[in-house]
Amino acid sequence: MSGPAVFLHVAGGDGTALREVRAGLEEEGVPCRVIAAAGDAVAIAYSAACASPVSVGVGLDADSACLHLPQLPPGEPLLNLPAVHVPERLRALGHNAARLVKGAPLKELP
Amino acid sequence: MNLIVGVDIGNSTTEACVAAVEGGDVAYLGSGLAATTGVKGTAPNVTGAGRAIGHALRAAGRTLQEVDAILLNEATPVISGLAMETITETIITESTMIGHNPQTPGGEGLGVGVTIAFEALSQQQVAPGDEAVIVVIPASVDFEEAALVLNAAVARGVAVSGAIAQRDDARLIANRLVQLIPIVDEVTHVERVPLGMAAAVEVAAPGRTVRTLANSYGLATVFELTPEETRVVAPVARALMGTRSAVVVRTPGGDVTDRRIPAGTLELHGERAKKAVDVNGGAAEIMDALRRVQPLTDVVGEAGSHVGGMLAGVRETMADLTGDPVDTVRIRDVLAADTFVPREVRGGLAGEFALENAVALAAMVRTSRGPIEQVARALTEATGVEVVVGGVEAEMAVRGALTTPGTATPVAVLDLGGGSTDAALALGDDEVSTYHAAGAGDLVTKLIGSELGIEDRELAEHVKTCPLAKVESLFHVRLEDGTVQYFEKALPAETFARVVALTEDGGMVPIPVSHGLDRIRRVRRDAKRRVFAVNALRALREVAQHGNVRGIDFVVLIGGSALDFEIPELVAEALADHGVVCGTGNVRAVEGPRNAVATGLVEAWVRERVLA
Repeated sequence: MSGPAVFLHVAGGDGTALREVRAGLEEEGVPCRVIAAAGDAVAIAYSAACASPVSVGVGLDADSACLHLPQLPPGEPLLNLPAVHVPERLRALGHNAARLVKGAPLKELP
Repeated sequence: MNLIVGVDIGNSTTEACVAAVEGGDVAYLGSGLAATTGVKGTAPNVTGAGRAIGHALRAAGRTLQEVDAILLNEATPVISGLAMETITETIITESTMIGHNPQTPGGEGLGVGVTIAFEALSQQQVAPGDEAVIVVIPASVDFEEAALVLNAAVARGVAVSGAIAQRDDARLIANRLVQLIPIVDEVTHVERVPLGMAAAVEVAAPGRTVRTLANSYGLATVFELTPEETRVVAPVARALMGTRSAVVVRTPGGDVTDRRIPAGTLELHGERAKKAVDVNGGAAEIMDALRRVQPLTDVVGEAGSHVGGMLAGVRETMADLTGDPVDTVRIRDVLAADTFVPREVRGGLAGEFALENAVALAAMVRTSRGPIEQVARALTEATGVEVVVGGVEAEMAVRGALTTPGTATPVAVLDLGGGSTDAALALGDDEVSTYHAAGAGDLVTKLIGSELGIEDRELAEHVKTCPLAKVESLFHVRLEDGTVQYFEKALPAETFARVVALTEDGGMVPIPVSHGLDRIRRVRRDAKRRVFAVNALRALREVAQHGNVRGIDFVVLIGGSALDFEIPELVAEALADHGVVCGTGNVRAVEGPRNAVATGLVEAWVRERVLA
């Protein structure tokens, strides 16, 4: 399956973070593709961004979430939520990933 | 040879220039400016004057000890004040509507039913065959749970016709429903939605706006209203026009009132005539009445009305500033401008705003003459240099403006300032007629702020003075003229997809309003036009012979607001209809529209000495 989608690279975690991020994307109506990966959140977010046809990637590892763009330096993601387990913040990260694609103003993280 | 310094104390800026005078020859060595300290024409001005002189001397490479004389202008004894009053107000009693534009409402269509709490539905308190229901979902309920309960209810045969959600998850819920219903989300005060009441939820297709609920007869059809009741809900329909989703809950006795606040009458006292005008009539009527009673001697507002309070406020501020007793403060000019103010609707559920009509008034007050001598004495003490007070500000402005290449008498000078727009017309050598019109840059800032709902004055000032751009990606912006600018480094995330003001130092200030670039630009230009284009014509008409603007050939724009990137263009546009050559001054061919009065002081001083 290909087509315009935000790529989600996932390395570990219990799936709750993934659910929230996907919910944020779905609410905005932007498709996403989930791909298993290995590495820390920032690194896999960058590779997800580079692979995504819409140039937006999200990386999730066991305890953090990261939003990245291929135009940014690999070590400087747009948004990094280290060690968060606040569902609202993860949902907002999903919203923002979608809004980058749609060109809509970003949501403030709660 | 003499070294002299001309100093002009203005409402907001103090300007100075340093000149070396040898016989009839003048060589300008440097100029400087500083913010005016204290009210123009009062002793605290000395601090600002000292700073401006210091800057000018530094630019000239001279010291205070070498200065032979400081020239100070006879400051125009006028100061201005501003007031704004809304004349309509929308009040909803007992919350009856939600009309807002969440970015992502769910479903589509119109749903009518009785409001019930989510728990009531999940605890199966509604039976199949009951009336259709609109479910109210609080933030504590997850979208999957909400969808599960709604689907279960539908499966049991309950008629679920719509939903109101607190969180931003309407589409998430809608995607999981077996039966399509309209869902409005991001309703902040969902707990205030009255339960057990007839309600309608409408969500329009993308790119469209609600049709049934924004139509009075649509509401009448949905709620089976009588003609009298329809009249009462008409303001609800009007408030919902243009939104993509809406909820109307009918509560007995609840209604929206759209009432006009008695704004009161304004009494304009002229030298020969007196005229009362109703403020509700709007700016055009006020300005028309003003033209009929000119020259104006005072303005009073009807006691106990809004406008009465507004003018009393202006008078009191002026009395405080000048130290004159309140009853001696006379308002010598007013400028009224129609405007609108977004106000949160009282009783709204999602922070809705309604645009209320308002009138903004700028008033000009004449103060008693004299204190300039105090400033001169204090300045002598502070600098140890002889201070000469000479020349009326308007005459000096004309003299300074005439150093602009390509100008000649008869010339009219328009000083576009912060508080007032001043016109001076020089006919011959010493004959100058002047008029001070209330309203200038500060009023523009106020109009922009109120119409866009920006409370931060500094931000409103940015919107006024800076061109706009839309941040289209993290690496490029589209400027208001349509050109695109690329950046190598990523722009700050908070500017993404927003309209920003491009400050002169290359910064970007995001404008946190939901309006598009075109709308903000229109508000900005309209505000400038309503103040400066109107005032330019008004002031020129007052100074022109027989009130005929066509008789004036040249108009030179000076003052701080003449530095603006579009105000000179808007004024020139307004004057072009009258066959007037209008342009921004360029004092001494180097200063632009700045330093005209300070330069004029030096010119006048030299001329006097040569003639003597």
